[in-house]
Amino acid sequence: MIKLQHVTYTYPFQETPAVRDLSLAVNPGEVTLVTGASGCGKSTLIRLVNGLCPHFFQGTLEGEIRLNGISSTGKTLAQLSAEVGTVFQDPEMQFFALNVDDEIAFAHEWLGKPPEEIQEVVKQTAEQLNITHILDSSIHDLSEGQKQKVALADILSLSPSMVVLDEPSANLDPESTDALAQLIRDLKNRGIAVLVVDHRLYWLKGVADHVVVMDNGEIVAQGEFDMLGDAALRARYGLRAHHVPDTRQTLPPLPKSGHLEVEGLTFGHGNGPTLYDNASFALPQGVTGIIGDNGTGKTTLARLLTGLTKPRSGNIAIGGDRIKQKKLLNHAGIVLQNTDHQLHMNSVFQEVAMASGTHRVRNDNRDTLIAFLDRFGLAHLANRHPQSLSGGEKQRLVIACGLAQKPDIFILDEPTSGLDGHNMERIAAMMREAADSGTSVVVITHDLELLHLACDVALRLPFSQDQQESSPCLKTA
Amino acid sequence: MRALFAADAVQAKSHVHRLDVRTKILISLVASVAVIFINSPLAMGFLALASALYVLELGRYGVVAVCYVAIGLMWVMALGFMALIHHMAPMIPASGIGAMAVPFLRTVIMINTVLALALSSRIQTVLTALKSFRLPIWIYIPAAVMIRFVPTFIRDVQQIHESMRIRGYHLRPSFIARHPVLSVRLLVAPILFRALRSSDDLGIAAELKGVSRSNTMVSYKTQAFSRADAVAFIGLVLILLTGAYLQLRWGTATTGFMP
Repeated sequence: MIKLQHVTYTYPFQETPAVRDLSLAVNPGEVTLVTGASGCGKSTLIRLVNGLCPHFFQGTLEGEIRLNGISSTGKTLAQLSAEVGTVFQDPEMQFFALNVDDEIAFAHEWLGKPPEEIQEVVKQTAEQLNITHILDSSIHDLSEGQKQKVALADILSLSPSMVVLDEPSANLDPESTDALAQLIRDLKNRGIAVLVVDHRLYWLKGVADHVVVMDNGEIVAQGEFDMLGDAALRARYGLRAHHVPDTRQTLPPLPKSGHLEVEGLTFGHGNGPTLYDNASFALPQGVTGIIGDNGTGKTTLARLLTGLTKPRSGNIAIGGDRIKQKKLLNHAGIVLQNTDHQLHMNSVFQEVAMASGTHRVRNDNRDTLIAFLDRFGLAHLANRHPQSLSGGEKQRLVIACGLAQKPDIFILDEPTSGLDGHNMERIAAMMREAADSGTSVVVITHDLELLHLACDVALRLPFSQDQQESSPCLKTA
Repeated sequence: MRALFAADAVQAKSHVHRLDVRTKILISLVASVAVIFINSPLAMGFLALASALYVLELGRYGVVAVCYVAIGLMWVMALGFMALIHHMAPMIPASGIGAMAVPFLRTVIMINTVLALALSSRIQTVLTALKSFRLPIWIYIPAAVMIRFVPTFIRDVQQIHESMRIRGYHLRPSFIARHPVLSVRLLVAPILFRALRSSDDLGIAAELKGVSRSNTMVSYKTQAFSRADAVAFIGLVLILLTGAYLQLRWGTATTGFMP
């Protein structure tokens, strides 16, 4: 059982507490969902439960945290980690070993268990989570859903009585998300107390017993899942929708001709099997969603369309003009998933100035750039260091930088992963605005809300016979 | 680093591949100690030749050639600078090719043995081997984190390089010469922040897996030495003895500029 009583926590060198007067309880066999806008204190709550605050991050803790009825104050982080299992948003960053079986065995090796016992634990946990076939795989070769399962196997192999999941659906496709929901039901049935922190809400309907909404470090609302049906509550605290229509099958297919036309695209990784075989299709102006399960080659297609990866064969034309592969990046912009890699300069202003090709800033172009930043809600942050921004602000900045290059085709790879409702809506609005100004916007996403809000047509992967019939321009040999 | 990354995909099975990773670590360690004590060009040349045969047995001639070209370039540059210094300040004696060869032969020997280890071993196996040595926690953990960090770091560098291409920056020599500060900023700023985040994440991961729980650990995968390792060990001893004999019999203690 997880119980927080009037907990207030302040990080080192900070004057204001990150969370204030938190009181909540998660009973065995119960699932509690914690949600709220970015920066509301959800991550700190997770760190308080698993002991990273204050053991790792230091800081000042007031109030009491009790795990299975015993105060966590006197326990070490190692003792707490044996009781509370934590899965982070990006599971790969919590993997310490490089192979799946070694990863599951890692904590047991440090417990000094006999090798035979460890082998048995690895085997049983893998069977339980249906990952026996990937035990020998490198963690770098796993799909996002598989990584999530391995991270869960890691913690479940230690038989914790409490589990904390941080944004577990952020990188999963809808089918993997459903599978995760079923897994959480299994944990409930085994009497494990589960604390889920997530922006995406719809998938926990029928799973979460209790919902807690946080804002500015405090609990502002709590109740049953149906509470999230209140649109005013969601709007007030920047929450996502509690029910999302699945438009993946209802979005119209690609038109017969379009702004960008691909003919005879053939590609396979190295000497591996062919991923696309003589595929031809057209992308219209407007917003196109590329949808498909994890591992179907969505990001690879984006890389081919922007010239980052060379195809075995095929031609790409933009506005009727055939473009050589090496020249594609002059016409295309792409925003990759990890924003940290894409921010180089000293300030937000410099970042967007460099992206737009403005190397010398004068008064007249300064005003233009500030006005441009204002379109993305970033003008007030112009002097901030890009790496100091929040996740949503960084995402908006890299999108602004991409659009500052005035591309003919603009591709975004999972732009709303881990973003709250307000930021997701802002990015959807940006995409629509760019599309309305004549850019072909392509978005790779598992986010059903974004698909519903922003997309006009869908390109479904893998390329199939069905799609060929519905869209004559999209055909494979 | 790229070589380490590529090693995970190595499928070829040369004799060096068949050696236990502990044997290859031992060879690297022995070579690093031997180059301290052996300092005559003849003995050093013999060790360099033996280590070159060792790494070339892998069949990765391209990678080895790139390394040798880089070392050769450094050697030529060092000779050039020494000649320049002698020209500007004649009281400093000119350094001969033989004397300058010693420090570079040391580098060649080390690169040969480390390359053979990196190109024929999976990172996870190296980690397991380090575990099996039962090293103190303060040696094992930093070593494991460094090895674990290598692929993450390489992926970060690749992605940063890609994001620079997307923005229209190409880090060609001409660009670096025209914009040295900007070039450093474009590459270093994101690497620095990613490295800080990655190290924090890995530290948290280690703590939550109970690494600080005890000072002892058990490796659940056992590794076994084979006949190939025995042959390699005998070969290593013979090469060292021959090197020592060459040093004592014909060696002229020429240390170049290294102690």
